Amino acid sequence: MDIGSHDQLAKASEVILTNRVGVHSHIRGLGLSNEMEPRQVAQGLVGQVKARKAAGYIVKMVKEGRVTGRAVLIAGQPGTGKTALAMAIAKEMSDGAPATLMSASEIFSPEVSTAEALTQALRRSVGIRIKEETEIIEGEVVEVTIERPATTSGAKAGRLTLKTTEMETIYDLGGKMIESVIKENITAGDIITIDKATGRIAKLGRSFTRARDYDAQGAQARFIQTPDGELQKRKEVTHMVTLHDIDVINSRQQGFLALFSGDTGEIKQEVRDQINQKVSEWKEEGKADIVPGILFIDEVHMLNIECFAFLNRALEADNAPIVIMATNRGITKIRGTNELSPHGIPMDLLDRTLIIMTEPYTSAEISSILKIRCEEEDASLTESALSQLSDLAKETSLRYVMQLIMVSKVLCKRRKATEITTEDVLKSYQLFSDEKRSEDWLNQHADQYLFHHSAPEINSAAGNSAAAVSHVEEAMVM
Amino acid sequence: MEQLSTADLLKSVETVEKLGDAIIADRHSIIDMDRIRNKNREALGALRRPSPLMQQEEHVWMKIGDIFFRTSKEQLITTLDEDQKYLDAEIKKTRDGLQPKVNELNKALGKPEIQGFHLQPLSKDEMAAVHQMIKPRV
Repeated sequence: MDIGSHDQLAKASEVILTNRVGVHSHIRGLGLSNEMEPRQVAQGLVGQVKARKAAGYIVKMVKEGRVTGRAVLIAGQPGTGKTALAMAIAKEMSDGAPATLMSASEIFSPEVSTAEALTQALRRSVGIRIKEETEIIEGEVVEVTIERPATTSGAKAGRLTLKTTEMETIYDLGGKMIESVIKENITAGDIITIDKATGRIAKLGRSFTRARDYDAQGAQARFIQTPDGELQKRKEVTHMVTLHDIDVINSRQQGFLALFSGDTGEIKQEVRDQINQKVSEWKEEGKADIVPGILFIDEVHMLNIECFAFLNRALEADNAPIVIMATNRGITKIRGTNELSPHGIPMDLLDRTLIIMTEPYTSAEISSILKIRCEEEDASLTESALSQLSDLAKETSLRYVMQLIMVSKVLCKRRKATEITTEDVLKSYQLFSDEKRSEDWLNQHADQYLFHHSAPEINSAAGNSAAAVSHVEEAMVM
Repeated sequence: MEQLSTADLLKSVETVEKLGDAIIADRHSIIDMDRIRNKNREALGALRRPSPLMQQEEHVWMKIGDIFFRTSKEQLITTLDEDQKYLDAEIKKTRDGLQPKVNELNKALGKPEIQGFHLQPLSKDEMAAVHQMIKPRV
């Protein structure tokens, strides 16, 4: 009766493909022009012009395959886009050299020693490009005839007529081929591929010209165009595997149990040495290209002194990738020692490192970033709400404000409006405390909490006092 | 974008067209050679087939284009075999030459070079070993 609501019901149950929205899902690349100049707002990145340009040069060097075993450090205050830069670099490398992203704490695990975990991470970032070549016969079947002799023991004879858009020819089939043809159920109008080396027949689909042969087709009927060109083609495919993959293949026990064990345990050094030798042999013969990639280690101050010493040595090896590290620490203790050092990294490693500094964002840049995040999270803000959020970001922090977007969107939907206004933002600000307000509250009500220690000076993200907080609340009430 | 004079523009278009023509000509010659190769193969098959009629004959009729020849069977088989070998070699040579030409064309067009096709192919055993790792990924 009510066709309108029926339509809506149908729409509601329509399957919509959703992508999970993550913190850095809006980043598509470094946003550089052809001359390697970063555009102010491009591909999801905003500002941070110097750091992006430096990253662009590094990506270019890696792509041209000219450098191995270099270290780069991205350092800056929290919330200045270090991880975002790493995501952008990984997106730029996506076609070609491998890029591995990891956090330093992943190295520490009870099953695998730190040296092994680091070695695996390093070898996961070096790629080997190889090529596979096969001769195949590809064409559309015009006619297939198989003569079965009257007596069952006689030899079968078969002929197969194949054609492409340019030519047509007849093949006499031998016994094995006839069996394959019967097994694959090849009929006229099929488009098939015969591998010359193995003799395997694969059906690619049916020809378009035969689409109307039958009124009802099975669910798997695929129609493709008749192949063009010559019948006997040479197919060349390049693959990229990483050194770690080859290690795993060689060290795996034979048998199907290996398939279920997932990641291997420790791989012996002799296996690795053999692999290195084999790979350099392949390189000599021209069979493989070694493509060093990028290993990104986030929160690198969590590595201890042994890991740093290991890295020093590993960077000098023949097949070392580019290691990009990131940290937001100032002068802190190197983990595993009592010594202070810039960024928590020993001076000898810092000496080998190129350092890229990231700077805090200006308020204009913060506005642009918020706009991009709003698009990504599918939220529309009024102008005043956007400027209010940017001001808030200066008092609290960029990350807190980005999370407010999600909360404001929910509040806005609840009052059945489409645009987020300043009242939504104010409500969400009051609902969720930022780090500074939380700290002030704790200090005020210290005696009511269990085991509370009044801490002297805790470093907060945008550090200051209770006065600023009440100022902000006054401004919002307007 | 840099300013290009008309002469420069004409020159770059000319280069691209020339390279493109060379590639297309190579493709066509491969197709023609493959056509001839297939016909030769059919002929050889017919000559060698153990059919009673073919066995007894010593001289056979052969049609090339619009002309019919009558020659000895063995001579024909030898000639056709040589032709096949020559065609195989020619096709391989042309195909090998295609790859650098396509790379040059990409360079002239300003597109990135396709990587990896200058490599020697891996043998079947090596490929089988590596395939274990490739399949699950793709």
